[in-house]
Amino acid sequence: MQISYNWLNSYIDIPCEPEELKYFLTMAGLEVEEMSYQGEGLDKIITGEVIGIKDHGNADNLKVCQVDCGEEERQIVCGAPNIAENLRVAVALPGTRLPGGLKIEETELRGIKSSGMICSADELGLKEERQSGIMELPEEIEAGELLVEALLLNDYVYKLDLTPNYARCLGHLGVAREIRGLSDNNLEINWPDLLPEDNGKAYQEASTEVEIQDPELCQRYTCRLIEDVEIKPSPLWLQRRLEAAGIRPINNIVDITNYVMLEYNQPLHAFDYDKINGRKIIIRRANSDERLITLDDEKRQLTPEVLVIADREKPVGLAGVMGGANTEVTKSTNRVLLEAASFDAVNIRRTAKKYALSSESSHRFERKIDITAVAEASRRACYLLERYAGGKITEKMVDCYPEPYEKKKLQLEPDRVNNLLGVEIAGEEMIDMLTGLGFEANMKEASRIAVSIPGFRRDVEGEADLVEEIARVYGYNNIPYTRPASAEPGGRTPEQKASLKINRILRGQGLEEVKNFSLRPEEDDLTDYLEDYYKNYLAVTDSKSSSSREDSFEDNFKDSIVKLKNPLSQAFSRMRISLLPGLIEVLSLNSRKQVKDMSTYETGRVFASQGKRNRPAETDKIGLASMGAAHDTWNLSAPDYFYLKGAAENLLDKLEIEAWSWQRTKLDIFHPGRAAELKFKDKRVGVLGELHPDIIEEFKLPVRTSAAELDKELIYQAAGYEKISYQQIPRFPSISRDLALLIAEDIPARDVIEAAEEASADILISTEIFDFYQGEQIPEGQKSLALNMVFQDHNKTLKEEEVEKQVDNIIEVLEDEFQAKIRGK
Amino acid sequence: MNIEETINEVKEEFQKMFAEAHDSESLEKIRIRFLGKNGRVKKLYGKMGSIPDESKPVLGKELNKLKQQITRQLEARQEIIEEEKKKQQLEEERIDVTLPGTRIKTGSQHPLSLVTEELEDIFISMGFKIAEGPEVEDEYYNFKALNIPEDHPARDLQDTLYLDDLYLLRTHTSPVQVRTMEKTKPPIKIIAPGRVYRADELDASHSPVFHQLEGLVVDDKITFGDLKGTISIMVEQIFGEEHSVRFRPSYFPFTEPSAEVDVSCIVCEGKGCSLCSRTGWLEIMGSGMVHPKVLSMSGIDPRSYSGFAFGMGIDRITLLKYGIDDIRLLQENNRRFLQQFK
Ligand SMILES: [Zn+2]
Repeated sequence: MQISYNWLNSYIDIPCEPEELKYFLTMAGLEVEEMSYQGEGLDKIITGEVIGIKDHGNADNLKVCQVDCGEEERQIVCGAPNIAENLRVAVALPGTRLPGGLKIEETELRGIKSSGMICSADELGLKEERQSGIMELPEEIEAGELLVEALLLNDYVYKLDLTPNYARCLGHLGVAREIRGLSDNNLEINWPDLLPEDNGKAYQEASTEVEIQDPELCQRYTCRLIEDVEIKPSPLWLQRRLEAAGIRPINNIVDITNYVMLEYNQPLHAFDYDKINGRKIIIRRANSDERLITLDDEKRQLTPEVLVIADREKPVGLAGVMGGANTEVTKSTNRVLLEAASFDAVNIRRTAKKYALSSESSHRFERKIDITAVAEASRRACYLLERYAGGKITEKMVDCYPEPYEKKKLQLEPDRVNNLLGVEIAGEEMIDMLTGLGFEANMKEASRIAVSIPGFRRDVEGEADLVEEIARVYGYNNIPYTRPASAEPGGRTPEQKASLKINRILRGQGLEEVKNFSLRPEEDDLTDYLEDYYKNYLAVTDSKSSSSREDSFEDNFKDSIVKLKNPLSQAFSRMRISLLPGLIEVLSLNSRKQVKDMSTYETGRVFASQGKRNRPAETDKIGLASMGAAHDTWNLSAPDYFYLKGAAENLLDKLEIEAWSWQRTKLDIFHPGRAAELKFKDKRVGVLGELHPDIIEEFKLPVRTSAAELDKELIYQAAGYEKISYQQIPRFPSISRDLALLIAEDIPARDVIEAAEEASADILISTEIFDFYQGEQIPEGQKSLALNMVFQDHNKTLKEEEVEKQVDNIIEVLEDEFQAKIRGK
Repeated sequence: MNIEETINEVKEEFQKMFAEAHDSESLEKIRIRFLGKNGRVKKLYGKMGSIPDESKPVLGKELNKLKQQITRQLEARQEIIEEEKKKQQLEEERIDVTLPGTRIKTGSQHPLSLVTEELEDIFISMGFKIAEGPEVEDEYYNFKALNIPEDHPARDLQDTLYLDDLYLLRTHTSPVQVRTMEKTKPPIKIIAPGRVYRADELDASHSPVFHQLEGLVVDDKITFGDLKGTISIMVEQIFGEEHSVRFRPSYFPFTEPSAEVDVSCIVCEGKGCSLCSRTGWLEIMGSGMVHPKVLSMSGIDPRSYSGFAFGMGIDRITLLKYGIDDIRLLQENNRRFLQQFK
């Protein structure tokens, strides 16, 4: 909605300057998105009258004009083809600057002096497209007037961003009411002139019949016949006001209906009466075999959900949305039937949506118009049609209004208002505030105000809406700042704290946090790689864990992907099922941008379908990914794999998780020989692996790029760091022993450690592998492992012999179980 | 020869040699020559037998003095030499102390989680707890329970992404309000940060996936003034005290009265610039008193309790706080961007 300062000022004496009005409206809840001056850059342009034309002599297409500029005559050279004597023109005098930036100077054109310039509409910024000639001004303009005054461009326009509850301000009178209600000055509204009321004998009975077949969808319908209209352009002031409001002038009839709509917020429609069959208007649902070509020349297939205005044989308009082309007012129209009505908001909204046809009219009906002002708006239009379209009105208005609006009655307790706002306003003052806004308000008992809601405030449904009105008039910014008391301290839940801790630990490992969209392309290059991962790791049901996992996952991988019903684009058309694709893309993007090494993590939610009509499962995951790591601990050309493995192990350790283990696994997304699963006892918690070489190649990643995904909820459930209790620092010395052994290369290191730990008594407190070697001097198919074992007794100093005994035990077991050869023995 | 004379001779000889000894080896030689098993001092002791008894104590004393003096002098010089040596060694260990330090790789925090954590901490200090909810919602929690009926123009305020006829991606974090009220008796004081979705094309200022932080306070005497006080503290903390806040009437279906919260423009401080569309103010959140219908739908009696709610875009606040001009940077994960946040 755009409103004009001058237009508004014609109804109410605006208590402030144009710039202040912008602030006033915004603070009243009518947010001004943009404010502009209509005559921007034109303040110095004047009007003139061409009183003489001579040929230039030195140039065929130039004319030397004598122009009466009011106080003086000027000689101006002009090359426009439409220059003519007695023409009123726009003149830029020397020293002025045009809106485009051009500065006009006293000059000579081919030897003849020219003092000024006669302008075209585009040079003045009044038309976008280039004009072929100079601007021809209306004849009634007097030479010497300022152009902005002559063309009524000395006006400010406010573009309002109105929320749905400010529908009353979709008309200038509604805005005037707001100003009256919110201004401190005692302002009155100058209501527009109307055609006199129908009572008395001035008008004959109407000859048109109206039948509302569906009073639910049309609560009021009025129409009136206007004869002998003369179709022509509207007067300049009216055109200008429409333009200020952002509506293109068409002809006087259409313009007047639009003008009154912009005054009263009441959409009107004018039919060519002679194209209506049988002097009858029927408001009914359409039949499914009917069609209507609307004013925008679109053919619309109708259905029974759509309300139409019809004559005896055909629909003539989409009720409240757009008229039909078959009854359009044209140059030859002589009689018009003026419609002013009120339609059901929901039905209009559905129709407008159905046909993707949002009009000025449907926009207003969707937000409910003032049903009590329908007749008044019609009389206003009639008044203007008589004056500016030569219309003759001899008949009464038909007013079909089966159930007149009854003012809603509400009660307001001043104490409650004050308690809700944190202010102290007297009841009497509240009555004044409400009255100023157009409500009827009276003190009923000492503590109650009876308020009746006028037709233009149908947005007010209950007490809370009235509280807002009081707050608005009082001024939101006048309400004091206070703070609610807190009965309990604030804080995070243990799980939320753990989440922060996990993030901190991962950052401490050198991983950078990333955030990827949870919306992904329908099909991407990684989807196929995830199928076996989904089946074996994502679709795991565990009845003991959180509630989101009680339902069943889809068996089929493709069905498990949660798709959007109405995606905006292919790129964002389904939910992510894993964090891995996003992380791979992040590394790929950075790799392409010449980043050589990067390691990242993401904590985020993934989604999997649990069958049609079931809520999809939402699971929080931790994703890790690394490329280009430098340190290759085991010389296995797997720096990223072991970097991430170390980060994950540190995470498990810092969270005090016990009984975790890694086992070899095989998944399409990973290198077949370089992937492991993380397990807590027998629960699968996540996977880690080097990306499959095909992926590395496709995504232009450095070789050995690795990634992992862990289940955050399972990790949190297993975390024991909150229950840590202090263990006494051992008082007795420990004894450390190293053991180097040769074993078959396919025996996992993990098995060796486990066997050693099992073989020894409690005094073995740690077993670590500190060296790994394969290659020269080691037989084919074998590997060398170096084990460091630390023995300690909490109650006494260990004797060498005790430790030797344990070490011998361990050696025996390793020899037995793995045919290990102890080196250096 | 007189033994006394001999002592003096030894003394003189020692002093002569000592004066020329400047390293550990020469000192050691001197020590052996005078104090060694067959050294000169030892020999003098051997001659003690051949002198008269009455002279013995005096000479013995002299001899001891000599021995002590030699020892002291040797030791003192040895100490100096060692001191020198140490000094020299330390001098040789001199390094270029301006070479770069050994840095352990540390990770960075994504600006969105940095700001979320900061906001959470501000509200926690004011007594708030953190609530969470699902990202997949249904019509009831996302719309109906928030007083957003079907076929109401308020639905136009946000374009919804649907999964099917039953489920949709939440368009705001407000459903968490409803879920919290359903299962908690007042007093309620929560914030709910989270991810939300809209059917918006991705461009410099719009994104189909973004983040909100919702707040809800319900108790028996909550006022609009409490809403203003709480929000102004948050704004002060996150943007700095020099920024002013203003509240202006607005519309949200689930609050009444509703208020839009503006903060004075962080670039122009109210003078008007392109960031604030020449208004001098930046819209940062919607807020208001919880609509009585919303309270009663969630089982809270609006005659006994009142509350306020607010919601802000975490992405928007992040952009404003760091002066980032393109929302896409928040999901591109370019390392050169990420590493700027500490
Ligand atoms: Zn600014």
